[in-house]
Amino acid sequence: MKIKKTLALLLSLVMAAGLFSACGKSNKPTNAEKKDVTITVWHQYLPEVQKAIEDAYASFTQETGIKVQFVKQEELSKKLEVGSQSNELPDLVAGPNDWVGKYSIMGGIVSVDGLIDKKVTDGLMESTVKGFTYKGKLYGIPATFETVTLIYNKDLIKEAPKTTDELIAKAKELTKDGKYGFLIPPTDAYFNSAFFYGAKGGYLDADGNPILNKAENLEAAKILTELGKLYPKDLNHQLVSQLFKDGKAAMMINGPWELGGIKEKKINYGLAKIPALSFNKSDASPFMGVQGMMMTSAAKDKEAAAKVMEFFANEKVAKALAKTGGYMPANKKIYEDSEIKNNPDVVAFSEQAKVATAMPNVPEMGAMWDPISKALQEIVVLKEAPDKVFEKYQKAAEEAIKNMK
Amino acid sequence: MKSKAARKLIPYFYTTPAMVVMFILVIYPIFFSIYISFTNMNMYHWKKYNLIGFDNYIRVLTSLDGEFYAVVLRTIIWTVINLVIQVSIAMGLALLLNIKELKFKGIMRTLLILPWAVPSYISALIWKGMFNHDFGIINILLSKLGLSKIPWLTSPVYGMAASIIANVWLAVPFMMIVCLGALQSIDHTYYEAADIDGATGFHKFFYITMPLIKPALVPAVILTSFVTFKQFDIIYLMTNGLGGKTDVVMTYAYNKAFTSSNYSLSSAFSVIIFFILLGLTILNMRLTKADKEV
Repeated sequence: MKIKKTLALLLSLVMAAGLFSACGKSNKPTNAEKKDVTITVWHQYLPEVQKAIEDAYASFTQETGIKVQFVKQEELSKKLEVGSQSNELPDLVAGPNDWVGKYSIMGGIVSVDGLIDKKVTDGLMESTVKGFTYKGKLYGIPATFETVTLIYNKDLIKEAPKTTDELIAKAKELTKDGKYGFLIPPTDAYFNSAFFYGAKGGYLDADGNPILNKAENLEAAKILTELGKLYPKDLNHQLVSQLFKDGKAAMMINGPWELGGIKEKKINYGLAKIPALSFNKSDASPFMGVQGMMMTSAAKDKEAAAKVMEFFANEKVAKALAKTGGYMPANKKIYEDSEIKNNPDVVAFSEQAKVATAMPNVPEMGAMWDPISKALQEIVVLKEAPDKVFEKYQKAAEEAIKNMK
Repeated sequence: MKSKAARKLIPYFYTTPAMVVMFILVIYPIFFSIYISFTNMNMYHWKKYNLIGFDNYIRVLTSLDGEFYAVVLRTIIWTVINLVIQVSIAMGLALLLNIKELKFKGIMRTLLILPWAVPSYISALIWKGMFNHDFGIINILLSKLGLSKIPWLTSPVYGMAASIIANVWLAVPFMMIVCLGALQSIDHTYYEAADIDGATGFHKFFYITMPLIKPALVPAVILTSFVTFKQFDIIYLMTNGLGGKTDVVMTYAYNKAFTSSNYSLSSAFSVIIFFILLGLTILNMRLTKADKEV
């Protein structure tokens, strides 16, 4: 009896102790030592990508004496949120540009205006730098970007259409016998952005006000409704990529992350710019996510941290990211490199990026995804009148944004 | 021998670890979110937030339009339909499994419990695939049978039906185990006595089985009604609210409050949902108790 009791007691103590051990192991940023500076960077790259970045930074440390420590964090954005409140942050974070508005307001990240050499930003694609500019100030250094483009199956369609009229005609012609001409996840605000921004409508203006009821968006809706008539029902991301990989879809809009699977299935694919909008002759302009490095409010040695940021856009790091992670670098010089020049995939995505719209970094965007997706559902899937739907979700979006304050 | 006082303290000592866990994981967060709901903690007041009284509650309650009440009503209907189907199927299965002459009982029980072991978001995604209009197995089977295809995930009514089917599939095992446990605890002498008195199977079920398993069933039903009322992943993953037409309270709250990173407003919303649930529970307990006395 007694043994049982002691055992139970011991076990419960062990359990309780286990609970605390998990709390104790938080990754506190290591503070800079007295003489040589160590800059800590939180990121969410895969281990092999981290290794490549660290190797690229070896020469940086040799030159400047600044040590850089990369720490992978799961759920980095949540940690950043909590960390901004308790001020437990590293010096730098690597993440997407749509964090800029939100975390600068929350006090997690700070502007690097005046700390970054202008030569560095001049060497980067303009649209990516724009992605990290918020209210006229620079908040980060872009390193890579990703966007979506038109991916087509050369066995089903010889040449990619150049305009949306051609696209609709081709899609109609090729949708038959269980095969589809053109597919796109119908309710995804990111994948469908190309037409809204190409029509010069869009989701938000520069000040973060919703503009869903802008007249130009109706033109985009017209195109999407036409295309939507040809989609199978219940179309979603998985289904789009599955149908394309099975050779049952001639064209889709998708990102570089799909190419691996497409190659595996030995699909004879090609990449092209998303067709230009026929009604205003302007390029379709899909959203582009930009990844880069931002400085936190906890950075002590700002000069050293800024140097680490500048190097993140460097060719060495850019090459490392391109090779190990398949990322598209923001550094323009990279595209003169013969190895990259001869890679048609990278070239195609960089061509698309030139006309892409950097993902809005205003915090209001966070409240927009849901209303836009619902509006698309009603217009493209349920085939309701676009003008009424846009009015309805314009109000919903305004309401959602009001709820942020 | 230990003193009386020491003996009285021992239980508290033993439960301390569990209490500490409960405090950290359950009680503290609840009170903290109630506290937050009275502050202005949001993106714009993130590092320094202060108490603002009932403002958030006033905002939530005044912004609640007809849509919210429709959502609450839909959630109640969803919960009731789910519970009725779950309890009847679970009871049926438990009665079958309780048949003495049944062979391979172990295997069958394991197979029937399996859905419970699968994480619900995985089940939801698998069901979503199966309900797909052109490529899902359910519609393929329907068309093989010569029936027309059903727009499971496009039409709000069918979207709700699909969610109920998936949710029932997920929740039946728990209910079945509770029923089975209760059934097995019934002394078979009651049935023998009833047989001698010439009772039919119908009589035996309603006058012996039902009253005896009720004490075990009621807490399970109350528990499940909470879980069903608060169901999020099935509806969200399968229908994604279908433009708000299949929203239940939790998905509605998520889209309305949680995507805005306005923690104080979301907390106020959660507290209101908590009170709705509390009210429903009290009602539920009253009803079941009143039932007991009959």
